[in-house]
Amino acid sequence: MAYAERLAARRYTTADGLSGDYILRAMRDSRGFLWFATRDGLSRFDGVRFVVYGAAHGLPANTINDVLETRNGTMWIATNGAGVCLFDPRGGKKLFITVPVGKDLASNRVNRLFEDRHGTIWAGTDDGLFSGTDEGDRTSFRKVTMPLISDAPGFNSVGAMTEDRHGNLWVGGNWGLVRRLPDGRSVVYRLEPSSSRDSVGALQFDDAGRLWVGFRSGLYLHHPPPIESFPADPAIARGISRTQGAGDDRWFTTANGLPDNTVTALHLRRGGEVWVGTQHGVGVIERDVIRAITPRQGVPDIYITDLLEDAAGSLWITTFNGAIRLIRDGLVSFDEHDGLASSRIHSSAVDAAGRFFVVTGEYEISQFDGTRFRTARAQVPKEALCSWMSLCASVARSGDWWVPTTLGLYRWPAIERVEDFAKVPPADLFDVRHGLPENAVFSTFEDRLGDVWVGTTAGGVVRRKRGGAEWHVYTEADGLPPLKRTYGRLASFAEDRSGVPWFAFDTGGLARFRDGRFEVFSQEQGAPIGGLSSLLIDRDGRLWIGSTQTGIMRVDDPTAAAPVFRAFTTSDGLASNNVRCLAHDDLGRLYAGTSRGIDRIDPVTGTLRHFSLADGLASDFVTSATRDRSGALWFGTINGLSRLTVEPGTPAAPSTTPPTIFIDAVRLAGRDQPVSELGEVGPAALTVPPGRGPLQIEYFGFSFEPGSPLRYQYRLEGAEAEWSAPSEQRGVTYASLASGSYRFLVRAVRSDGVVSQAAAVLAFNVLPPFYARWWFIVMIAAALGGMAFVLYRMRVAQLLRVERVRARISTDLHDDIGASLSQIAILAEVARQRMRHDRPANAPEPAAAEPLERIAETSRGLVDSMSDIVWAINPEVDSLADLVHRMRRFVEDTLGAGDIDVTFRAPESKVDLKLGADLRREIFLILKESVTNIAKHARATRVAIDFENSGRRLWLRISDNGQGFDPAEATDGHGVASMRRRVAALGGRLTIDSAQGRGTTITLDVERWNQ
Amino acid sequence: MTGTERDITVINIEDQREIREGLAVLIEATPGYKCVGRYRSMEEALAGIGPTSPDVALVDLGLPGMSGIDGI
Repeated sequence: MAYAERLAARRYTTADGLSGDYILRAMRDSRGFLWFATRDGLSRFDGVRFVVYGAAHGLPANTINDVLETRNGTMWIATNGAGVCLFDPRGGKKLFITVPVGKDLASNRVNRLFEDRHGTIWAGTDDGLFSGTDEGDRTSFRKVTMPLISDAPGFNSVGAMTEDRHGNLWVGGNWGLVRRLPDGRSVVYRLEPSSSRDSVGALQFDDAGRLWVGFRSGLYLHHPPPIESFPADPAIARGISRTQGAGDDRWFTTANGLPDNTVTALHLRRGGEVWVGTQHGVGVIERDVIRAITPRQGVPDIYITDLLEDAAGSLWITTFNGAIRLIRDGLVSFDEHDGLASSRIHSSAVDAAGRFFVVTGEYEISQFDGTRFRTARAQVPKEALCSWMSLCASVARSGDWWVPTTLGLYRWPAIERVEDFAKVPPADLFDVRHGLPENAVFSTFEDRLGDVWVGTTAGGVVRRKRGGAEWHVYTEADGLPPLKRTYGRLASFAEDRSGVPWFAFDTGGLARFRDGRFEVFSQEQGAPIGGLSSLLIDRDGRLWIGSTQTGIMRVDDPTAAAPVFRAFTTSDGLASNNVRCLAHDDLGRLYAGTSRGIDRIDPVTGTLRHFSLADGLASDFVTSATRDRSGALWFGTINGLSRLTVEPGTPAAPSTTPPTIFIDAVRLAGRDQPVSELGEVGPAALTVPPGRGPLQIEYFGFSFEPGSPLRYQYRLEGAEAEWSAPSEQRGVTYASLASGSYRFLVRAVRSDGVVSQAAAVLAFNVLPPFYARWWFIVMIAAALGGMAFVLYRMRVAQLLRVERVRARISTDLHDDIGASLSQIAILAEVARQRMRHDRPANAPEPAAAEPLERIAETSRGLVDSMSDIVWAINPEVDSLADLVHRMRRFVEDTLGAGDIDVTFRAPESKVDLKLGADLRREIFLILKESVTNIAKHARATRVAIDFENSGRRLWLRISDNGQGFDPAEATDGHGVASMRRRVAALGGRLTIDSAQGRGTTITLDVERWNQ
Repeated sequence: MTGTERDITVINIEDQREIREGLAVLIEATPGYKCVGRYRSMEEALAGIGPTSPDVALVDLGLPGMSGIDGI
């Protein structure tokens, strides 16, 4: 690793959500959270979002000095003045439980927490060292006495602790360093000569078992001697020479490259590097050599408080002014400070000797020497311009440099050093005089045969054969389209496996040159539309085409007669369809530089990785891409140059594990439901009362992979069948949900498409509103049933009451009035008889005789009518059979005596039909009227009566062969009017078919009611 | 009215006096019929009919004591 270039650094401050910029310590917990102890509370970071804890959550002090997660997962917070706190992620409103350490303020200013191999918690305070003891469900702290270097007040503060593999506890403070042996004895290390600046700020063991001790006066490397080397003396003292180490021990100071002598933080990186934080910046020790990292590389030279690594291997540097993340294997960038003439990169090139060059600004050519660039301007006239997107300079295999300008094409022979460009004039200038179609040359390419292809600004294509002097201009005759201008300028060139050159034009158009002719591919053949920027043949012989409008196209076999084009665009995950350049690495992966960073495509796995500013890319607008001989990829941008070192076959370690996902907040109508602060995979099921909402669910996964933020998909089982489209959104709100049982599932999707192995699940049940619940429905059904029953009972009672009344009336009529009328008739007759009997034999009829006879007759008529009325209202005869019976009897009584042939047909019903009193009476009266008419007026010899019951209808036909009458002229003597009235009241139809001398047919058609 | 044919004998059981007497008058007034007994109740009729053995009995069904139907 070289440390001259700009590192891929990103700074985080309160603007990003950190609780305070004054960070004192940082810690990575077992889940992957980064915790930041600040002077303004505690912050937790999941790679994207900070969560802040303060007094409102129960923290007893603003200044947090340290955070510790024990091996059993308990979180301890060290405060400055209020002892320690236990963090209870399920505590709801009370997340922190305060545990005092000592009795006074100094002993409750806890600088450092440490858990040793036995699980004992050690608290380093401003009043010495305390050890925690578990007492059932709580912990209490006891002071541990140690021989201190100074007994002076204020000189017993503990600031650093660590443990070695032999069980020695190393304690550092503002008085020096103490090694606490496993047998309880202590070894005191004293700096000689002693000073007031002997305080220890950091302790770190390296892979070799050596202890790095950060003093305020420098960094000391100690090789701890074995315990056996110490005499059996209770008090042991060892001196440390301030200038040189004892034995193999060594001192490092600014003289050795340390950025500052006051060492404040130490960190052992995977791979063995020891990072050193000081009062003024950071240094790195590799094989015992220190290099300082300069502010220009991305780390400011301010007070460093802590160093740690996140799950993706990025190094975090915390300071008094925010945190800095250095991305592991990120892109490192170069600009004017590294020797470039300009940060606007036109093109880059690797010559036959493997040297790397970039071309910037106006013909400034820079050569990379391993750490910096050396730059010289090619000697072209000042008025020569280097147009946007043109290849301002390119180096041929022969070592020749071709420099196209608006004044012609310049050639330099192979140069020794880049500085030669400033001294050596061009060997040639080619222009219209040499056969070029115009002076303005846009691009130059050399093919494998050594031929030089030139694209001019007007769109011409020219070739000079190797060793030849003639420039051959291609025209329509060679297969180029007539209007070359529509194809634009020759932007890129590539040769396929068979040696056939391919040409891409910058305003559209793709062609190959085969058998002496150009073959242009049309859109119909699948060729890309829009401007083309780059062509690349990869190591498998595939042709890749970069378009500024339609992303990438791939041709697996460019030698085929009819090549097949395959598109790869933003819909496949590309960051932008504006592709500016293409390159591939030694692992066969393709890099597309776009207007929105770089996309790396692995053609084998189909996975995609995006690089952007966050990964250290100099700018998101990438203009050129080149692979150097070492395999590193160089990306030129409009604001600097970036290099990506490809580690062979080792993708970043964490990317092999699928992302985990947690639900960390569930809010119903704005109220938090009990969910662990640190998130849960399956929070407790929830019951949502009807109409209560909205339901908000928040979730997250650890997303420390730079430039590839996790995306999330969710699905609501019970309402949605498909996973939602992946989104970086970390929450979802359901405004209202129909009642039912639901399961909310959410999973994380990494940029390479790997999804969480298991989704996080929240089950919840939305209760139906009260009117849709089972008990309410049952209740309503019961109430309706009850009402129907009551109504039915009332109706039955009513009918029974009516029947009783009808029965009583009919009995009364029959028994009382009927009997009395009979008596009147009898008595009137008796009176008449007596009168007749008593009168003389030839005396005239007495005057009273006639009225008496009228009385008797009327009484008999009334008895008759009464009989009909009694029958009509008697509920016991409410049936069709009773009606038929009475009709038959009446017809026989009335017509049976004469010489009339009577036929009476009536329904023979198996089931007696109930018939209402009204209908029964009216039908009988119509029959009676008609039959009486026949008896009185018709003089018929044949009468046919048909009575039918068909479905819901009753049908009565009375026909005779008598003399008939004209219904229109019928007097009421025939009772026709009353018959019609009766039928109308029944809602039926009466037809009278009669004429003088043709008999009479009366038809009644009426609906039968069941009641 | 000829003496060769015996009149049809009728008894009349009726609790209302006017009707009982009236019916008797009407029966007597009808040629060929002769009212041979008038009773106020069924019990009285059963006790009094004895040897007379009438051809026809006009019985009011609704009588005090034994009903007409029971008597028949």
